[in-house]
Amino acid sequence: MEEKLSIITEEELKQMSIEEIADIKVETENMIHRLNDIIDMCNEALNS
Amino acid sequence: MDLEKLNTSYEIAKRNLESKKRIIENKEKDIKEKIDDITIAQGQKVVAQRQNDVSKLKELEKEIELKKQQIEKFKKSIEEIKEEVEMFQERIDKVVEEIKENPEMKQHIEQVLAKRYTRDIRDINKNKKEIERKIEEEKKKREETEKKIESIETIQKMIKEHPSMKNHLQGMLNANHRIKIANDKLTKLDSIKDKSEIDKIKESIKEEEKRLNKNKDAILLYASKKKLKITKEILEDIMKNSVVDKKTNSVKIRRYIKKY
Repeated sequence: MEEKLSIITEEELKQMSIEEIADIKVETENMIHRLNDIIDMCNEALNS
Repeated sequence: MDLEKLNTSYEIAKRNLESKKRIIENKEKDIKEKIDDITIAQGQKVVAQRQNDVSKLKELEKEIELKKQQIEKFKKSIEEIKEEVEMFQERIDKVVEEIKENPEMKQHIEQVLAKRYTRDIRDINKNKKEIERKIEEEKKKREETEKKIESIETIQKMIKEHPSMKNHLQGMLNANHRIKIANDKLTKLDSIKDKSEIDKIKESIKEEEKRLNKNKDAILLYASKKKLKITKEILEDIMKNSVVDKKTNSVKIRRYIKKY
C-alpha cells in the first residue's frame, strides 16, 4: 500500500545523518522537477 | 535481514520516494500514450477534412476531447503528488536550515549537497552522451542502409538493361555458392584418409574463385566506366546474404533484392 511521505516527521528528519538528509533533499527536488515536466507536457497536449 | 535498518526513518522515506517514483512513471507512460493517441487522431482529422468526411471529423473530435479529459484527470493526480512532495520538501528544507545554523554543520551539509549535485549532473551528462552516441549510431546505420538500397537499385537497373551484366552477377553468385558448398565438404573430410578427395575439392575451389573474380571484376569495371554506385563491398554483401534456390541449387538475385 502506498504510504504518504508525510509520515516522516520533522523530528525523524532531524535524527537522520547529514548524508541521508542531503540524499532525500536532492531526490525530492529531482522528483518535483520531473513532476513539473509532466505537468508542462499535459498543458501542451491540452492546449493543442 | 536487518529489520532495524529497514525501519529507520531514512529507509522508510527512501521506500516511499521509490514507490512515488513508480507511480509517477506509470502515470507518465499513460499520459504519453494519450498524447500519442491525440497526435494520431489529429493527423486523421486532417485527412478527414481534406476528404470532407464530416461524420469522421466529428467522431475524431469527440475522440480527441475524450483523450484530453483523460489527460486532465492524470494532470490533476500528478498535481496532487506534487503538492505532497512539495510539503515534504518544505519539511526537509526547514531541517536543513536548522542544521545550517551551526557553522560547522553548515559547511558539512553544503559540501555533501554540492557533491551530490555534481554526481547528478555527471549522471545526466553521461546519459546525454549515451543518447547522443545511440542517435549517431542509428544515423550511421540509416545512411548505410540508404547507400545499400541505392546500390541495389543501381544493380537492379543494370541487370535489367544489360543481360550480360546479369550473367556476370549470376556467375559470380553461383561460383560463390559452389565455393561455400566445397568448403563445407572439406570440413567433413579426413585430412589423411581423404587426401586425394581434398586435393580435388581444393582445385575446384581455385577454379570457382577464378570464375568469381572474373565476373566480379567485369561488373566493377563496367560500374567504374559508367560511374555507377556499385562497390566491391555491396557485391560482397550480396554474396554473403544471397538466397539459394534449394530445388535448382542456384542463387536467386531477385530474391536478395526483394529483401530491401
